[in-house]
Amino acid sequence: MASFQLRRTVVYLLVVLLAAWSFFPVYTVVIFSLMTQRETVAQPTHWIPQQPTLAWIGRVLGLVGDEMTGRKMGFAGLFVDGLVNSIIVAGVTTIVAVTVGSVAGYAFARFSFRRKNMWLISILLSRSLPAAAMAIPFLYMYTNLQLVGTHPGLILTHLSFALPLATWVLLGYFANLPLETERAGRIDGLGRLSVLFRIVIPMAKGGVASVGILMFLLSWSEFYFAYVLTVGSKAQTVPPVVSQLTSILTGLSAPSALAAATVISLIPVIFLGVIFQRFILRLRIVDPLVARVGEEIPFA
Amino acid sequence: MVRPKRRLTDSQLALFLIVPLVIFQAALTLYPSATALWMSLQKFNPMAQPIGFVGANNYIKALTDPAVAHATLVSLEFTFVVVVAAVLLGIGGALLLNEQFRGRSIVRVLVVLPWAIPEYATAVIFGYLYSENFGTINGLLYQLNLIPNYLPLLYLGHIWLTGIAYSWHYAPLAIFFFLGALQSVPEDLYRQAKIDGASAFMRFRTVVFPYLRYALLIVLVLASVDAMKALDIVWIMTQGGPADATRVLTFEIYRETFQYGQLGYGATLSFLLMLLITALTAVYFIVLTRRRR
Repeated sequence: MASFQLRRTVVYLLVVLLAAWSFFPVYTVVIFSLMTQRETVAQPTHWIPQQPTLAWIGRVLGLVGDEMTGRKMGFAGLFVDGLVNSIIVAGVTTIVAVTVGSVAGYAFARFSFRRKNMWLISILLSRSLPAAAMAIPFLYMYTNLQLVGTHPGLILTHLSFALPLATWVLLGYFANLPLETERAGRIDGLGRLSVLFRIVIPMAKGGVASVGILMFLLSWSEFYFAYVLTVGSKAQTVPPVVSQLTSILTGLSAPSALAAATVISLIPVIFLGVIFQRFILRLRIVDPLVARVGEEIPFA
Repeated sequence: MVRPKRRLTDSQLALFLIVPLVIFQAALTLYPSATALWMSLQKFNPMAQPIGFVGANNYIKALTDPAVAHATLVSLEFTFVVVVAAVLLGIGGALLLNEQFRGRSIVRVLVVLPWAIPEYATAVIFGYLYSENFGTINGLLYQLNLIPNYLPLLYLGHIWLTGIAYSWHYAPLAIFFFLGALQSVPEDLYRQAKIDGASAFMRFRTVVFPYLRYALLIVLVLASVDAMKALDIVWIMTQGGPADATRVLTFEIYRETFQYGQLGYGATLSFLLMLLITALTAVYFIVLTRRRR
């Protein structure tokens, strides 16, 4: 029994370490966002803000003016515009990726056709192209098409990595659904496409919603295309705004405003991530190439 | 004459359904890749207009450029840190989360958290952790009396600390893969080994590990590809510094193109990086396909 006790203690100790490793960085940025400028540079660190204030959050959102001059900070408008742009870009990316991905995922899950594996693999391979490398040709193409600094331009680049993933995950869902309902639908006289839209997608709505969340998270978090294609334009999303704050604020050497901006930009992500984790933890890890015969697949 | 109403066969319908996806992907990946290849063979003026064909010049320059060699090494070092950290944290975290303990559901949410945090935000956050003026790691070490005063951590650890920041964001993905694989270890097999008196290590090696092998392969490949692709973290946290210590390949591409205005050369490096990463991914698929009988 002594060894059992020891084992318990070790497990709890390691669990605390793992939780601390995961949470400590987030805690750091949250306390900085609530501190006054002077308190952030205190040595040693104040682990609990002594005069917690929401002033920085308010300033970044343009709700509160500067304490000395009462003027609103120049970047507040930028940040709020960034939030709106991010919602538009991530929203449209999600809708298109889920729609196109469902239709294609269903085709892969239910029908056999020539070169199916080749199509599947090349679709997934196309996800691995690095944004750092793709940004230059995109910028060049977009200059001619006048898509630099526009929502559609950025959305298209996000689709380039969102679509393959949406297709693969949805294919796993559809392959997992029982065939009987679909057969019954066909017998009742529905066409193959009506079966998809009237039976399969409603049945898979949990999965479709999770994929939607995943797509939204991916697009909301994307930095490099957003920076190269929209920085300084009317369409710029939150990540480039935050990166600009980094350079605006390095002169200040006190981190509250950037921390506040980061925390605000994280709220939707953390919220969606927590919902999404229930779905990820249910995934069974199986070989993606056999996945289509009826298992959920890992997202890759 | 009335034509008989033609219906699509199943496979025609399927092809019809994947057409939108194929068009999107071709336009969004093949076309830009081809553009990168074409750009890499051109010379550009400062207005970003092509002014002549230069053949393989850019490629010769890239393959003999010491800055590129340096950046490749830094990228590989970064990738090494990330892969090792992802595997260790992944297996360790998964074994731990697979145990029964109080508060497990809360801990699971906490463990997911870093994955939901975007790479650029991870960079901002770790900037705060590592800062020599107000960094919380300095604060922690200082209060535990391990250091006499705040240290410039990033100057001491550069690419390793950058890699650790990226691993913080990346490890949950590895944990999920290993956790998912652990669910498939048959309970009785494990119990039998215990009854037979196998030590904890032996049980892990002979019973559990075979089930983790596939997840390990996925994590190894995904982590290497994603670490080679990573850019935000270096860009925001270190801008390639101190000196050139964190100038990874992706950052080198950015620098050549946007800071030095070398459009053709930047495209050359882009194309080489695409080839490298596509080759890595292709190896992944070959290994996975080969594995099945």
